[in-house]
Amino acid sequence: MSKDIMLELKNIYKSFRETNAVHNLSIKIKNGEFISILGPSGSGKSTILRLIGGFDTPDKGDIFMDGVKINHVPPKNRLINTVFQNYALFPHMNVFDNIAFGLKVSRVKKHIIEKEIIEIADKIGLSNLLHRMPHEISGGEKQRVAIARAILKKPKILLLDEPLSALDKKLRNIMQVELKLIQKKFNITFIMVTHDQEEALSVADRVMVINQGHLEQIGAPRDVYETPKNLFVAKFIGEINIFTAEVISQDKQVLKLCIENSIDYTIKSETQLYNKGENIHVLLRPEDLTISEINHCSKKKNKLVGTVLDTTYKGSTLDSIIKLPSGKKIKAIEFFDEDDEDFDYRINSKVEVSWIDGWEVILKDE
Amino acid sequence: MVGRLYLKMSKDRLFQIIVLSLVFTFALIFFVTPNLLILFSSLNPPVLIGEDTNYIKKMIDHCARVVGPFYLKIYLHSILIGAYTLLLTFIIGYPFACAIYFIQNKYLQKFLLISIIVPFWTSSLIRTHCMTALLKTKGIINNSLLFLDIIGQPLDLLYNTTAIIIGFTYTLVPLMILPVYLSLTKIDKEIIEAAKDLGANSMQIFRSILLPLSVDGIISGSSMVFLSSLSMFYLADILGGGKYILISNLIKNKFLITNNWSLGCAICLLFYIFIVLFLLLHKKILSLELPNN
Repeated sequence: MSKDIMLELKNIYKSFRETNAVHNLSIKIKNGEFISILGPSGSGKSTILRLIGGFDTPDKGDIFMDGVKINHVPPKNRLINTVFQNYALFPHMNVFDNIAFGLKVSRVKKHIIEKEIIEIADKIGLSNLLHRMPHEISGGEKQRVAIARAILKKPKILLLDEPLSALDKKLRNIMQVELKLIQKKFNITFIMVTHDQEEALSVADRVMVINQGHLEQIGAPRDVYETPKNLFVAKFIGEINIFTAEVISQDKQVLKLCIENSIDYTIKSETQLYNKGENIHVLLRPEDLTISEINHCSKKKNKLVGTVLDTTYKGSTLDSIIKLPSGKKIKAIEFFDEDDEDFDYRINSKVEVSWIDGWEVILKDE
Repeated sequence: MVGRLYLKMSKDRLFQIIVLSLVFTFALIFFVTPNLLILFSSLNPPVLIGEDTNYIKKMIDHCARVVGPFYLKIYLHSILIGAYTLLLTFIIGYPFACAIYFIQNKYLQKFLLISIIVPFWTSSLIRTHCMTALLKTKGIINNSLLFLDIIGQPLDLLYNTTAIIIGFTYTLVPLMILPVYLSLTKIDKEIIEAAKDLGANSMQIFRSILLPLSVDGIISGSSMVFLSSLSMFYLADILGGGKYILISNLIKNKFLITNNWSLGCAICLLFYIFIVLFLLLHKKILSLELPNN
């Protein structure tokens, strides 16, 4: 095994009362990586965290940390610490004592504790708050105390269970950046569970998408967003338009499709082989679609015609809902272009929808 | 418009006045008046045979009796028994409350809670009488211990101070468990998990998390236990075999036997003052003793 691998899960199974919480999960996490586990509620993502933290043991499969099997190592001997969803600060201790707790219980000498806390408080920005009680500080500050408290134990892996879910949107955005900075500063492997896809994409080096205990996809945020492996990932992360298409023909060079029964579309052939007449999906993000007035002279081939149902002004963007002749509603998001005259579409007017060749994702019907 | 608004406001105001006056009347009739009666009665000692009728002299005698060495001994004995009871109920009750809190099985948890409450459905007097069956020389406890060869001869469990303390502890332990359990349920389980995560062992979690966060429960529990132990006269009568007089028996005797209401009321007042002092001190002592607070 490579020395760089901090944590490895190998064919992990875990079930509670006959429901599979985790089903045949295998991942390798590198040292110093920021991983986010993303999934809908009840998908088993918290179970994965509990398995790594040692609060649960897997039914089958092995967990390795630094190459050592840790299936039955108790939580406190794992060099893994957790930041809990509601921070779980000790309400009767001030910030200093909260941070000191982990060292105090392992009987570290007082002056060493003091030195280390002053150091970490300086790094995380808590120096002025050390004598406040938890109920006297804000949500973001509580969050930082919880992180400082866990980091002071010098873990190799820090687990974060929905760490930002209790904060309001503005603070959440600030804390996302801060989490990333803290992670880089201390160079600890972070594993964060979240159901917020925007959060998962913006902070993590790699995103794990989990559904019903299965690992659907793992990859860099950009890969997961731009080339989802299946319909679940595509639908779960961001908004996406799913067109149905029929395979007309496929040879070594090109794949011919008929999209939404209205246009023929030719793309470069993939390694994936399709049968003639097979129904497949063509996926496009709303921001990849371009809307224009109907122009019969245009040579563009890949254009769908539809009726504008609704437009929503969002400040920097204009969101339009367009109904295709097949009855399917699609969404397009466009950035404002003040020079563009026909930007403001009238409701009920007919428009063309097009995209740049190659920006689509093609998935088999499941 | 303004008129209607005024009417509406005055209606609310009227409602407030009615509710408040009801509460005040209730307090006046059932709280203030009886206590004033006790106060007046205690300041009005009867003339005993061969005593001076001079009020001041009479009062001095009266006061001397209330805090005289004979009664002081009884007070001290009562407080000592109360303190033992408090200690025992805490030693038994706190772990019990913790156990209920930590038990994962919901049914078992409910069962244990009900098992604490059910004894309250039977008169405490009857339960105390049943205690004698357990504690007497040929009672259940002695017989079982003899049968198991743990002791060579029966223990002297009934009609002594030990019996009274055992009886108090048995009767009052629910009063310790329930408030402690209640204050424990207010602790987020995540906090305990966080403490474990940071490497604390069970003893450290108990000392620096559970204990300080359940202070309120301990205070109200121990107040209830201690104060109840001072007022349950029949228990000392039954289990002590009538040999031991506690503060509650003393007051009972003054009212029901020697018919000296004034003295009884004076002891009551003293008792009052003591309770208030106890409650004031209690919170101070507990908050001083606890770590990290």
